[in-house]
Formats: sequence, structure tokens, C-alpha cells
Amino acid sequence: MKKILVLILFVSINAVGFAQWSIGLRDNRYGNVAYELNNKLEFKLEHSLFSEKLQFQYVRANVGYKQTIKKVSIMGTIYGGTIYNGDFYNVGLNVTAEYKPIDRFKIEAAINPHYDSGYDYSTCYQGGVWFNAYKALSIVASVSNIPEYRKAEDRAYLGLSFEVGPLCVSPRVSIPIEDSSVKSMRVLTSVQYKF
Amino acid sequence: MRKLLRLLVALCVCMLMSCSTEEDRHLVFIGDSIIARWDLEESFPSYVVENKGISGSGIETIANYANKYNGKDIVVMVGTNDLYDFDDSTMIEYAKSYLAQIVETNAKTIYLYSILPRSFEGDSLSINQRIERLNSMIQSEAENYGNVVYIDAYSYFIADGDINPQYSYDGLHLTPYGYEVLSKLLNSKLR
Repeated sequence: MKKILVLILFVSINAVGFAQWSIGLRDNRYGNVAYELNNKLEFKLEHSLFSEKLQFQYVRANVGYKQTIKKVSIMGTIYGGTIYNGDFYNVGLNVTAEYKPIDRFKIEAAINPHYDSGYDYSTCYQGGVWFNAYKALSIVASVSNIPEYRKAEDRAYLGLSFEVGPLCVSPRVSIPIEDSSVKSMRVLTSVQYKF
Repeated sequence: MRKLLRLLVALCVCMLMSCSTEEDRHLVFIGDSIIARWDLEESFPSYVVENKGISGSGIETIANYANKYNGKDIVVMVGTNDLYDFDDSTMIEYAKSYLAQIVETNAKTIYLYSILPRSFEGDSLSINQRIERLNSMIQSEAENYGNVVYIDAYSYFIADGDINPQYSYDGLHLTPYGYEVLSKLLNSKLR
């Protein structure tokens, strides 16, 4: 028991030494607070900012682990979320691999087994590129069917990323790929600030 | 000086043209809570929009608007709150009076959404089959009126017999994604 306590204390002290907090917003609608340890382990809590009653708000917990080997980094994240009134929940695992052959260019691919209690299981994906165009400005393009809300939809994304010090702002346009008369283009913005 | 005058004349013409366009681009939305909760200015930024939606209202509320919208373009979505006020044997009468009361608004053009599927608390299992039948009656009634543009939203909102969970928080009221579909459908008819 004493050994376990010492171990926990040791991990905690180390954790405090390399820990980083951040707050942010994902896709206009999800606020988040994240805690990162040693640039490897991440705990993130997301909460919807819907203009709706509290019972329809959505909360999601994410735990991720990142490993970097030379020019490749892989991050696995498990998550689970639910609407407050319990009408639906979703869980999943997102595995993202990044390959950065040169400093200004990155290729990213993700596989995301996802289960939603209303839509059942779907295998989601994401593939994209990131290019640092000028100083803090980067251009990002990707295709994905990872749900923006609940439903997996094939969409193409084109956007910018401004990274200045601890602040990163990423506006992007979400364009439906599937031919449908009811699918709309969306403008989404994500912001993250590291302390 | 002459150039300046020409420029002024051109500006005046542009302003006059834009005024007439604005008149044409005026839409009044009437109906129940689905209309009332709609952020119309966000969905239709190039239109002058008026939201007259009232939560809990049914076709009886629309009856109060007789001759109120002479020469205007209106968008209507109503009926989901009336579904338990009639049975299958009187459905056709309801559909006829529904259309008649909407047309009595005297609007120039009436963009009429179908009733959306629902799976709200306490709803019967067959509610969406009833809505589907009622919609087809309303659609065929609408064909009798030249100024009614029927918009079939039902078939875009139904998924496995229920309202698509992407489009509704609670089985009745819509998420921003649901409103996105309604906007898209209306825009395709407005153009």
C-alpha cells in the first residue's frame, strides 16, 4: 500500500512538472477544458453550447495517449458522451496518425470506430494535409465522415490555422460531398488556448 | 462634374432597384413552435423575414390570420399540435379545412411545409404513419390552389420510422441541423 502511495505521489509530482491546461472551442458549438501530461496523456472534457435547455446539452469525456517516433506521431483517444436527459449517448475510439516529412508539411489520417445509440455503429475516417504557408498561417484540407454532431456525413474541409504563441484559431469550411438537396455548407471555427 | 452627376444617377438607380428587390424578398413565417424557434435571420440573410410562429399553435391560430397577408409571401408550418384532435375517419375533412384556412390568409404565394415526423413523449407508435397519410391528403388538396407551393420535408426527416435523431433534440423540436434542411428545401423552391 505504501509503495502504491509513493508511486502515486511520484507520478503526481512529475505530472505537475509537465502538465499543461488548455481551454477551447470546437466547431462553434463545443467548449472544452483539457489537461495534458508530458505531452503524451490528455484528458479533455467537452460541453455543448447549444442555445437550448439544459436537458438537451451534451457532455463528452476524452482520454488520449500520444506517442511520437521520429517523424510519425500516433494518438489514440477513447471518448464517451451523452445528452443530459439520457436520450442518447455515443462512444468511440479515434486513432490518428501524423507524418511530418518536413517542418512545413504534415499528412494526417484517422480511423474512428464510432457508436451512437440512435445511429448504431459506423466506421469513420479522416484524411488530410496541413501546410504551413507563412509564419503563423497554415492551410488545412481534409475529407472526413466523423460526425460534427451525431450523423456520419462525408464532407470535405478547407480551412486556415493561425497559431500565435499559446493561441490557435482554425476557421474552416465544411462542404458536403454526397449529392443531396438538403446538405449545406457550414462554416466552423475552433479555438484553443494553452496556459 | 459630369462624371460625378452620372455616378450619382447610377447610384440612385441602384438604390431604387435594391428597394424593389427588398420588397420582393419579404417573407412572413407563420406556424407553431418549430417556426417560433427558428433563427430566420441566420437562415435567410438575404430576405427580410418576420417570425410569427407561436408555440403550441395549430390550424385554429392560422384562422385568425384571414386576409391578413394580402399580396405577401408567407411560409407555413403547422399541424403537428392538431394530430390528436381528429381521427382517421375525419382526417380528410381536417386536410380540406387546413388548406382552406391557410389560403384565407390571402397571401400571394404560400410556401407550405409538410408536417414533420415526430417521436415526442407520449406519442403513439403509429403517429408517423398518420402524419404520412395526412401529408399526402394535404399535398393533393394543395394542388387545387395555384398559389400554394407544397414542400415535402417529411421524407427528408424520417429515418427508420422516426424523426432522424440528427435533426431533433426531443423528437419534436429541431436542432440547427434540422433547420439547415428546412432552409435548404425552402431555398430550392424560392429560386
